[in-house]
Amino acid sequence: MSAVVEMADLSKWYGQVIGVNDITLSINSGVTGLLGPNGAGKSTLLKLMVGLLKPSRGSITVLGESVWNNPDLSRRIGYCPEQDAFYDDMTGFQFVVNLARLNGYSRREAEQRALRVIEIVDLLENKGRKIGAYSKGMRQRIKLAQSLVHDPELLFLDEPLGGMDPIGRRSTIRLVKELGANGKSVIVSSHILYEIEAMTNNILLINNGRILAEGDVHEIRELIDEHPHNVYINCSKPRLLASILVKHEDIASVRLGAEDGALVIETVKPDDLYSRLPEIILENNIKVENLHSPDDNLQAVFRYLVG
Amino acid sequence: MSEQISQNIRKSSSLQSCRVIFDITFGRTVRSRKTAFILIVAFLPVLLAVCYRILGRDVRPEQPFSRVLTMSPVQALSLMIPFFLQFLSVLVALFYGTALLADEIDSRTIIHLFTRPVRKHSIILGKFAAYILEAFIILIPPMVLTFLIIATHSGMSRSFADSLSIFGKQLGVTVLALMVYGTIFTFFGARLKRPVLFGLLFAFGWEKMAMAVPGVVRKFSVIHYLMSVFPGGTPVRGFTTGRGFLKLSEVAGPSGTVFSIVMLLAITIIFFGLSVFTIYQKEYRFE
Repeated sequence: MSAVVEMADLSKWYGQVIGVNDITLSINSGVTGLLGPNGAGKSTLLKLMVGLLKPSRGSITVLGESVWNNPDLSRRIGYCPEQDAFYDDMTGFQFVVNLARLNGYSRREAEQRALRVIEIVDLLENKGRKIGAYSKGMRQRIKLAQSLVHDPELLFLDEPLGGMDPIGRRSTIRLVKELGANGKSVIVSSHILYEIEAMTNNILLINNGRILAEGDVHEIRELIDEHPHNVYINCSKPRLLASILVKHEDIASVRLGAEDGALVIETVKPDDLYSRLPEIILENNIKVENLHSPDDNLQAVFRYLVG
Repeated sequence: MSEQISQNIRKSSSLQSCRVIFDITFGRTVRSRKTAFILIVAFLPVLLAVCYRILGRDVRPEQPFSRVLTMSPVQALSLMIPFFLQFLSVLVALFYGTALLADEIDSRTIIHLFTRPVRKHSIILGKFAAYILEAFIILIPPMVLTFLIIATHSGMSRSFADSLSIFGKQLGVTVLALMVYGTIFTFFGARLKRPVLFGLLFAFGWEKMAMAVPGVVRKFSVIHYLMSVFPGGTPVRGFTTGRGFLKLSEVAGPSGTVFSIVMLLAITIIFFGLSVFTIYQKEYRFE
């Protein structure tokens, strides 16, 4: 396997705040998960990789090229930012077409490519709607589409599953795995181990701007499983969902949250919960507005790793 | 040979990038509330010109605004056309120029432009071209209409051809103003956190103050060079008592036409260059 990203003594600080702290690392081709709690430095590291930030110290190369002010490299990489960054008055289709044209494609070719990737992210029916009217999940998917439209060799995805519904999560996870299987390299960040684990075995653990561990995900998950895992769901039928979930042995507790429709689930086998949830939701016609997992348990593992 | 081909590809790709960025920027701003507001303000002089033509016919001295309504068409023109130069072109440049990059930075959409194979100077070029076209569309029609309404007045003492010739030059200076202020405010948008505030301070603070202060200070303002080439513009006068003051007023008087045009073009190029330099060097943080 060849290295797609190489960093040497890489640091990035904002005034007194350290974003990335003295990282020397090679990331090989294939799918790599960048895992760390919020504020760990994942987004900063990704922005350094795509050339949105320049290193304060050290060096970074991507696909063998320097990154800062190197637009030619952008032909070979795709970036899906964590933030909402849209021309809200454009339709999803116009947004992707315009960005594809910036990659040098003619309007006709850009439109064909846009249609293809919009279909991949399952937004074909909504391609003519203004992005301003899109739901959070749809916005995530159109962001993903724009990063794929020029068929890049290397894709950087910053928290791509944030705000997606369970079905969107599942299809995005499948897409990342397919990209990896088709020989593309993907570097994907998340603060949820189970999301990363579903996409790849190869992870980088980052906290406080430092890489704490790299390698196989299974060793990390054994540590994580020692800590109960909380999942927060906002849905239309919290009581019904609670009554179904509580019957399962792996569910340690279920309680209603402070907000209307909020449910807090504590489980010792989060994998089982995540694989079971979509089915339960579909069968019982439950509308899920939000599903997220705080990184408390991940923090516990980081404390353990840091010693 | 292959190097030449790759250079040609790069050139056409740069042109295409400019074109796409032009399309995005133009489409985005033309539908904005800002454009609707500025259009209303820009057509106010047209409305005033119509009032002048209609109400000025049978005006009696005791009527309100009788002095304005009875002024000669030459006087009316010399009031209204400078309004486009001194106020509206500055306002248009301020609103659009500062927003060219700042809006993309605030909405973080510039992330998409910076992570595409687009040279950063193409971003500025495409955006600036969109601004210029938009500014022309907003300012030139009401300016021409105002001129036509007043210049065709039966009491016009100047021949239409003479008026047209003067107006053509005034139009040219207004275009220059849009360019020079546009690049200054584009730079503000690229460099500063509150570009509109600093733009307002510059346009309606420094520019006005510099013109009010006698001496060489006004030579450090844009409006000095614009007024120096503006036919029918207010001549710039300094204090003229005492030998030292006389010398000073000579320095601070209107600059020559060619020199002023060269200065305006130089300011435009310098600020355009500064904007390009800024986005090549500056890191934008998108938290």
